[in-house]
Amino acid sequence: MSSYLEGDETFWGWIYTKDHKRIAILYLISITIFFFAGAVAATLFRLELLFPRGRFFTNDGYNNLFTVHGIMMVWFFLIPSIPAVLGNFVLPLMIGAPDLAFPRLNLASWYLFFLGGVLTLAASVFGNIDTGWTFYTPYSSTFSHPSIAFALLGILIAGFSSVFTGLNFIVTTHRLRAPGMTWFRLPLFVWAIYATSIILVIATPVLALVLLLVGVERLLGVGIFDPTLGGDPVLFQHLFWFYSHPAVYIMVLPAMGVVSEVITCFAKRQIFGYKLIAVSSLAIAGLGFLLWGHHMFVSGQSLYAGLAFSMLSFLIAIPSAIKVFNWTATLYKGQITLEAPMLYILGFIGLFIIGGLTGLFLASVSIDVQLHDTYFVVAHFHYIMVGGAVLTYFGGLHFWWPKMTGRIYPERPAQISAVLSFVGFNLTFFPQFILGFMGNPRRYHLYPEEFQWLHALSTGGAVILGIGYLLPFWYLLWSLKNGARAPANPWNAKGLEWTTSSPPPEHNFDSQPVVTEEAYAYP
Amino acid sequence: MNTWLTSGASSVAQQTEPLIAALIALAIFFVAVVYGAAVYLIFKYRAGSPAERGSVPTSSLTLEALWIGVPLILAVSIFVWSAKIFFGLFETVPGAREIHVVGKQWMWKIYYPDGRTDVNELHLEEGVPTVLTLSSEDVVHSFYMPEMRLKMDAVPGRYTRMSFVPKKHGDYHILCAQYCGTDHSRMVGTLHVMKGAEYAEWKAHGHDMALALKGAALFHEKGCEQCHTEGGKGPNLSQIYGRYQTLADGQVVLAEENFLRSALLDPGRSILQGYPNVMPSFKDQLSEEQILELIEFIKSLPADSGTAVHQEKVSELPREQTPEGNQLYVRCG
Repeated sequence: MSSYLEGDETFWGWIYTKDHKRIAILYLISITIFFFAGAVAATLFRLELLFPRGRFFTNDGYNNLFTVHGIMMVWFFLIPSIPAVLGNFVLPLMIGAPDLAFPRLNLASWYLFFLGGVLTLAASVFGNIDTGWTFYTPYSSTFSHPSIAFALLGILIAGFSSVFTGLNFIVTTHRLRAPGMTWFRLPLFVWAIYATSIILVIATPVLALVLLLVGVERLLGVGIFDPTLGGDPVLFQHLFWFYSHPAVYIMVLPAMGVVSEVITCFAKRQIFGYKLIAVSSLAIAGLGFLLWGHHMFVSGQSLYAGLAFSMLSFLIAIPSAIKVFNWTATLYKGQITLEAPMLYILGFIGLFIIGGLTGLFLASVSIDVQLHDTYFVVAHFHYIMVGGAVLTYFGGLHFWWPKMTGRIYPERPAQISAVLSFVGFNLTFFPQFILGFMGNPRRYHLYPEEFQWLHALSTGGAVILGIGYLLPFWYLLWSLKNGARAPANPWNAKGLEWTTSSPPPEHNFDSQPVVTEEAYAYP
Repeated sequence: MNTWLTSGASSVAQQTEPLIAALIALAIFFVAVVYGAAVYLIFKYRAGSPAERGSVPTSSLTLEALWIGVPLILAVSIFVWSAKIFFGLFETVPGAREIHVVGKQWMWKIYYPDGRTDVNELHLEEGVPTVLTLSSEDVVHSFYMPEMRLKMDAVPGRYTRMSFVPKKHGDYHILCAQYCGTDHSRMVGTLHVMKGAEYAEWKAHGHDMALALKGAALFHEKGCEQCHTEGGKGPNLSQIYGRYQTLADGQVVLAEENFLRSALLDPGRSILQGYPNVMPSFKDQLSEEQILELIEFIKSLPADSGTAVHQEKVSELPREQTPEGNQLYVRCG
């Protein structure tokens, strides 16, 4: 009985694969490359920020660094991470299906993603892209360097990959569930991916359109965003954030899905409030489309629009809070163990709650006036995206590593990495809340002297966080050759993916699974 | 930056600082509750511990209602508290001192109504209601005064504004807060909030012709009076600013700075009902500063005076001060 890793082991066997599991591995390798690109940029600018008047880089050099960091991390690491790696691998297994609904579309999705990523990375490294990942006009459409066109094209191409993947997941969830797998027996990870897919399909085309329009203005001189051509700069912001706000839910919803899977397994009990968590995922996806103007309270947007966006931004805190409370309640009367996946997930809860609460500061219109475009915002979104999404990506990777690779990773180094990541993360980003309150704007190469000690703390934390990220890179690779062979269910977890071998055969299951119990039916 | 939580340096700061304190308290409370509960539960229910397990609750209407209801009430309360403060930022205070701020890569140009200008410095008087009207000559910038707890984007092609009262004299930071290119982090300046006597002394020493007077001269030079006069093709401009106007297509708009600007640069869209669409556009013919001068001139016209008054204003000036002269005579505003 050969696994999906055996069979055609040639290069073309991987590059032309239609197997969702191999495609997940292709994504895993690609996003790791792009993650490193973004991380190198961050290392360089965190070092530079030790010096208030700069030291190694010109203003232009620094501006390029934070732009590359943002673009690579948002579009080529965070957005694909959990859906395209873990979702691709695990979703069909979780519902008892042999593959996704459209395997060729899945491969096309990866091709577009990789092509877009390479193009954008090349444009960033060889060109001069300094607009920030937000590309505000008219700076991006009129004033910045022409190489920006290649970055816009790369992101546009990768955007198609998002839409195809989302479509694939939605159809798969509707049509390929095993007999007995009703909607309310689905693992919560599937609900999370489903909600994420709705956003991927509806929001991403708006991004493609707005980037295209910037290109049209830039290359053809058609006035859309540049006031000297008769355009409106604030229109860009509306169109950009209409995608980019839901985009952050693309990043956090799958993470929340992973939390539900891991916490039930390592507390060995049924989740508290299954239906409420499932419905909250959909609520977050829906509400998430109505908040974009909270990025624009001081943009010249009207007072009343500001108030509406503020109120809605507060409302979305409710489903998120529900989930946090429900997960905590899931610990009650469990049989809790603290292997690495559980440590990562507990880290998520600890960091997500801080990120979410600081979101309330920003949702409050009059406080946002002070905090907008400062390090407070940078700290807030890193708490959710890094403290949240990245920690759970690592947690999920560890959790499903035995299933994906057939090997057990070494537990002690993994636990150490989880703790180092949590500590390093807090040391890196908590000082940035203070920097924001004190008035350090974002995207500042040079800053007032009195802030240096906070930047030094932050850079010190980044070193620890970096070690926390490098350790898994080393021991996970090590485990591929040297880790113990994994049984089908090393965690004694519930879930269909654990009923097949580790790693699974190409067709996933030897016989069609039939579902007869609820999700997380731990005794 | 003196203190990072309490500065009380502006009317807005004095209102937001208690709200911030409340939010911090709330955040600490919820973090403590969740962290505390998690740590307690993990310890008590660690695998193999003697704590009683038994049947495991999977839902509870009471608990779920509680943790939906309480956050909801808190969210709405914070929203309302914050919203009330926000209104103040946008309000029009009659008699407020109005100052124009124009951002440009990579500096801030300040235009006071009395004609004085500053670069990268803003002089305000303690206790006096102030309105800053902002715009940009190139890309989007953002005028940020951290100790005042204030910020507003400066957008090219339109005006934004913020209304506040500086409360504590001192020197403070001005920073650009919207990424605008190479020297974004060098687009900084100093805000001087001065007490009454000090301010009066500063004011007495800068010399330039008031913006409105420069605008009057420009109004004459550009030939505006040919239409905007008694019985002419254009409306009486003293009846315009600050009032609701009906456009040719029936729309009713408030004629404030943005409207006057669009009337100069894109008049076809701003023609008032009852007037022919014959006003030429002055796009590319007027600098940002000249647009501000014309706007200040129009704002300075006493209501119901008819724009014929400007001719008197211009002819009132000594000969050397009219544009025909070689230089504008400098008069203290």
